[in-house]
Amino acid sequence: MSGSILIYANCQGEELQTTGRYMPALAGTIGFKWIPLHKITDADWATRYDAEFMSDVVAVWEQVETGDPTPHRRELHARLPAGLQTVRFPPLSALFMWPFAGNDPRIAADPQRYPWPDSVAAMLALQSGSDDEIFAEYMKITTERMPDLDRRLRLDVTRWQASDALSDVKVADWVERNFRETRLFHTSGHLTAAATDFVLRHLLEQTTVLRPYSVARLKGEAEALLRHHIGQDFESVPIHPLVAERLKLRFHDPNARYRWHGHMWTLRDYILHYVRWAPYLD
Amino acid sequence: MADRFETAYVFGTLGNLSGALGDGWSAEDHYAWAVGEHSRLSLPLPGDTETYILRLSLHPLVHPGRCESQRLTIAAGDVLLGHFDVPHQATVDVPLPLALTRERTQLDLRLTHPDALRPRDFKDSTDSRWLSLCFHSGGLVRASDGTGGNTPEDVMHAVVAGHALARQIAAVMAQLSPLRGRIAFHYVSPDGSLDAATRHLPADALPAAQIYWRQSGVGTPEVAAAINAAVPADCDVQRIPSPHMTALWPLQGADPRRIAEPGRYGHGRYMFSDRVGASMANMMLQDDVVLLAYESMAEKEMPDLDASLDADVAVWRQLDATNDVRVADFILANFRRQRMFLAPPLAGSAVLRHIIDQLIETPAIRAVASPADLARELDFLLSGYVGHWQELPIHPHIARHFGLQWWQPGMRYRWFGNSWTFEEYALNYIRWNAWRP
Repeated sequence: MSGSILIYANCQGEELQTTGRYMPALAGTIGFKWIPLHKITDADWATRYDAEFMSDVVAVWEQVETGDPTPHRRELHARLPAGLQTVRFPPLSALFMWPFAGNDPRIAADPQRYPWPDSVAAMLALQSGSDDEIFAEYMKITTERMPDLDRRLRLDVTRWQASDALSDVKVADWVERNFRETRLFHTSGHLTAAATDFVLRHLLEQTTVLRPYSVARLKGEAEALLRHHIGQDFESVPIHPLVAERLKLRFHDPNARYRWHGHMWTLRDYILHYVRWAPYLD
Repeated sequence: MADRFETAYVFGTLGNLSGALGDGWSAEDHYAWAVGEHSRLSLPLPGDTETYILRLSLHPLVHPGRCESQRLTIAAGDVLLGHFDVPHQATVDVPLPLALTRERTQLDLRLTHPDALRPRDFKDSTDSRWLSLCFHSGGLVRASDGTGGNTPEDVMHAVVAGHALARQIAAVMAQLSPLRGRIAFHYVSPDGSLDAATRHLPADALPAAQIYWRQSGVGTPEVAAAINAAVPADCDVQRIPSPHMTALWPLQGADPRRIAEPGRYGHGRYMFSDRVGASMANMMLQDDVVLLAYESMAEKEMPDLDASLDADVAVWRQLDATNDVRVADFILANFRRQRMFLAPPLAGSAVLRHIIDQLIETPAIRAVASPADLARELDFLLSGYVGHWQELPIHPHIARHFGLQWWQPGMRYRWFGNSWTFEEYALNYIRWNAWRP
């Protein structure tokens, strides 16, 4: 058997693709191709994802979306040869861990600098004062305005369950059981390796064309590649200590440093840079 | 460069406009719906004499066949400020006449939105509110922003040539606000050909350069020489050394397994070799036994570490003698207290800062910005800076021998996307295990 597994997904698909590419058992036989559903354009179907691109696809890992199928998803389905196995899996996201992810007027003009908005930090953007004063004010306001996180969690669980209902791989129960013990998210939409490993293992199990490769071996290789991997942490948004306390996040270290491009920042570092919309280095 | 907001408004109950929303709003955590036909907003103002534009970020409630867009009119008393037809998420600019804002701390706005819909009328919803536009955030932008400043002819060109260190220096300098708009920093790689190296530069960057910093000992000699020849003779030139450190990783040597694996590991699976690890490649024992054997062999093979350090220092002093930027004394004085290198060729942020501190003494830079301002900006910009994604683990014996204060047993090291202890790295290396970036 040789060919490619086509992954149609958001950036979480790139994690699956990269891990798959480094699995020794599949080297030289099964490759992985990724269509980023959040970036695809009409023109891409005629150029990047043409008939030649599709010609060696032997299975599809399709990340589902709730709601009506988008035109791109319809286009994908129209191009897949009949009889090809598609394994559906859900996107993972966690809005509840960053409850102040609201609006920041600066993002419209400068969308790449700090793409994970914090509405309280945005409000402090024009406040004068020392670093200590600004951070103290941030902590004061966020503590006073901390919303009901259990409600936020329930909203997320409902979303996860809705995606699960469309998928062959189910994540809602697993995320709900594990998010307190193990860090699963670097941002509301970026995953740690633990979350990628869970999804990947289930995809490997359910993909028929991989049966000749020994699923147990493939899962072992995926686990070895991801055991000490950090995941999508090029932008890791710190977790508020009160969020950690209220949600009982046992993995949380109040002194943790979080990767932000070329930096390792504490929550305080991150908030001060964010408030000032400060440049940083890659 | 983005417009700078002078005041930031965040709608919603978690925002800062809760007290400013009058009639005609339905606020949720992160946004507020304008409901019915009219809404009132008491906009807080700075109370100064600047002329402002009110910028609002919003989206309409639309439904195909029923309502394709939402109209919005904004007025202050009798003065019509703006009229918009909003078919999708948008940012709208509303110029505010100075007469309405001068030295005032509040402006009362009346918003008219006659196309409100009830979600329950066209979708499976119990929501019976008459919703029109959802307001996310906003701010005041100075109307004069975007005019004035230096023309391109006023901007001085600075060229920084070299490898990773030079790229970092150029990136740092380009972010310093006292220099922005005054000095344009351009990074150039002295590899390949002069044409390829300079293709991305403005045409006059090299011939008009007033500052030229070049990392010595790297790149293709012909290209480096061509760049040197292309800058003006009276350009301020600083030669930057490329320091390495080997004393912390003295077991480097040949490993026949290290070959390029195209598509996966272009520079070989592990780009820094370990001759002791290589010699154990065929040892099929349990992990703990392999590690014990490695420890034992490494200690036997360990060279005289003080002599290795002396050799490094001799090289650094030689670099100091042939460059304008000095590093030897700084590294020697601080390597126990601070992490100076992440891997033999990868200097850490402390070395980078030390080099930049010397470079900003360049007269052309001193003429533009005060050292104190630059130092303050550098402190903030480089806080927590790591830069590289590779950290070569240090053998505990070596860390203890040199008394590295920043090292601790069980320390984790970044290896691209991975976080490994020394022992995990050593085992992976010995077994030549695959890893993913």
